[in-house]
Amino acid sequence: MTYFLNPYAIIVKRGHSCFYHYNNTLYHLTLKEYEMIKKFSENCDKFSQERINIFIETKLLVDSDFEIFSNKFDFVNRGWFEMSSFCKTDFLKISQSRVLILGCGGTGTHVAWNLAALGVKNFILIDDDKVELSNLNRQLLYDINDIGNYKVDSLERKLRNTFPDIDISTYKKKIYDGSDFSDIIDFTNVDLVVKGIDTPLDSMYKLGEYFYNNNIMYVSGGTIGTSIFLGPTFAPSLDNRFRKTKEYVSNSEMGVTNRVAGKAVSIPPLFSYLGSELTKEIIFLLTGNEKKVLYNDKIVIKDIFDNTDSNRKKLYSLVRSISSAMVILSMLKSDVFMIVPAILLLFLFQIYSRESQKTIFINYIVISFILGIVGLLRQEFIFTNSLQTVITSIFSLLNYICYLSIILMLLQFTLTILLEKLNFWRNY
Amino acid sequence: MYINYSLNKIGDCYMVYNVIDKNHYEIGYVDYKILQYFQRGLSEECICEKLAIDKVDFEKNRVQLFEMGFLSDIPIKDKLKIKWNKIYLFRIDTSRIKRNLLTVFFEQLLISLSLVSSIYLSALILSNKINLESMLVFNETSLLEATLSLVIVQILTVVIHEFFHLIFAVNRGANVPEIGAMLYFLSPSGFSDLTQIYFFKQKSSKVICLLAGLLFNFTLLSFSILMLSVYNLPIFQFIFITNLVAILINLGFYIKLDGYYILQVLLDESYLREQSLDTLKKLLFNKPKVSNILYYIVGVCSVVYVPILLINILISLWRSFV
Repeated sequence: MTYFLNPYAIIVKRGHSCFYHYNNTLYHLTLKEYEMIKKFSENCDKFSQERINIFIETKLLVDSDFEIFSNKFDFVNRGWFEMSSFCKTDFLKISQSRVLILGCGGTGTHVAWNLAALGVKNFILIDDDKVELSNLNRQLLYDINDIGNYKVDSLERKLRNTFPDIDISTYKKKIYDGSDFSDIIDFTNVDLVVKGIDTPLDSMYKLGEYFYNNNIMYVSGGTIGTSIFLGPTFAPSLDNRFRKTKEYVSNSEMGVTNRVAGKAVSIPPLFSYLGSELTKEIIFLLTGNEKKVLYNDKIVIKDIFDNTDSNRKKLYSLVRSISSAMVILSMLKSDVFMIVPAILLLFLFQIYSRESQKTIFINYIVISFILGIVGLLRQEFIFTNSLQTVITSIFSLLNYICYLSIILMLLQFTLTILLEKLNFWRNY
Repeated sequence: MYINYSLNKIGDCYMVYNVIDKNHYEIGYVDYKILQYFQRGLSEECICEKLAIDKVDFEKNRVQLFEMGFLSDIPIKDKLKIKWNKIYLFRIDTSRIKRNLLTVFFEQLLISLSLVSSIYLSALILSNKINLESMLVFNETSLLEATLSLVIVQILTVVIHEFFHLIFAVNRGANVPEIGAMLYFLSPSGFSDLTQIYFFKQKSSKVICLLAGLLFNFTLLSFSILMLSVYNLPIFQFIFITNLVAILINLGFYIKLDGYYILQVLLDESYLREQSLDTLKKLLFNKPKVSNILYYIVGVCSVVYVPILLINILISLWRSFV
């Protein structure tokens, strides 16, 4: 196999030696090596095989000659070196594949731009809408001069301006279900569909069904208020139980159906996030890395403005479990002078952490369950019949869980109100 | 013309209670004013003038009010749904009770008494002076006497329990149209229409209204313990048992009683039980979800609880006879 010097590997000269870095580690090159490696194809027999292997591992040498592509479309290649898990064949696959973009709105425009910039050359755009003023905040590539034009026409023009060698076909048609495709598109040429439409609602389900029956890969996503929903992603080779439930229709209903008045919220950053996630999904599907697909068989709802970081959550759960354990221990010892401070500590923590009431209640249920089990184990049963013992112990366990958790809940609620009245915590 | 409604206002909400179909409605300001003027017996023209509305509009409103049954030309009997498991013993119309000095006094009395009794009970528990077994050993009474007095004590307790719900709700501006006692699955129990408390803005007022009955039971329980330590009369034993059972049954959230409704308010959930059972059913066909864990717990516990309770009662009965 022939190797080439990676044009995107940055080599730095310092004194009499050179360095390049890969994965946050510096690698050393002598000046002589540097001179030789510039024309690797001529000097390849001057390096030992071990040295060459290191160069390949650290991506100083690559198997494809980026120069061939980079003459014309350097900016397309530029992204590919960073995505180090992909190779030249992946790039070819991507550039040869044909993507249908169904709905050129917030989702469609972002995905189309991302894919074109990553090197996809063939697009089919379907949309019957015209650009309106209210679209411009979230729908990429349209500007004030496009208002009143068909979205597909504007998008085609804009993509062509930036990527001249791109191949685009457009259709102005409203799509309700699979039968609407029959007179315009032959799906044998289409590799993947981006489902970026939200109206009419039942068409989401019908189209999903149609693509499933015809073994056509698709990705889908949208926004609900200030959150985005990602998925379901479908590929014939993946598990596909999700499509049997109509759950995702009801999920997407939250924003759209039964609306009497008011405009739906559309927050620009949601769409760029959504577009990036869907693009990732598409790249994995097109290059055959289906195991890396995230949103197969499910819908994930993400509030991208929820900034509670995972470390803080971990800390919360740690403190919660420690204080719960303290409560349990003090109760097992039945020492009143330990129970009260332990419970108070737990309450204060729960109030401070601002967890949802459900999470707090589940925590209390767990505490009372453990206490109940330990209490049962301590008891000496007088019944001889084992069935009686089982039933009575289940009964007392149920009661224990119920009463203890609800009393803890009530006490905590009282404390919350007291603190509120004392203005102990502002903005609670 | 007969008037089949009662009006009240909670915060910014204008409420009307329909006596015929026993429902509460939230209405707008103009409708509220029209209904109020009807109650006062003002004439049609006078109402139009006061509210500055057309006669045509007014007529439309009037027809609608007739259709909904708020007004009628002939007296209408209320549509009481009769179910086999609910036998009403008596129902008291309390829609005229509004916040007054007496209700405020009762509320303050109950709160202070329950505080005192909680201090008393915790002192007893701390000093280990409480002896449950001696309280539950019955003195010599005939079975008939015991049953009769238990039933009477229970009905009285239940009615006062509901009465305190009423007082707490009325003090916070809600209209409680009726309270009463009934035989629910042949066991004496009470009911009070607390629908309007869900229109309160503060969670704490909802909770305290739902908790009022339990506070009364708690106070009476500690009172009976206090009396039992002085006079060992069977009547205090009955009061003790009745209130203990009432607290235990009401506080749990497996059966739809006070505890369940309190939990719903605390968790910001409506239809907790229905939702839980629904989620459990879905579990048969779908994968379990971590976010639904509360529903699974509540659902399983509520399904399991009632049969186990019945079996347990049967076992204890069988043990006491054999």
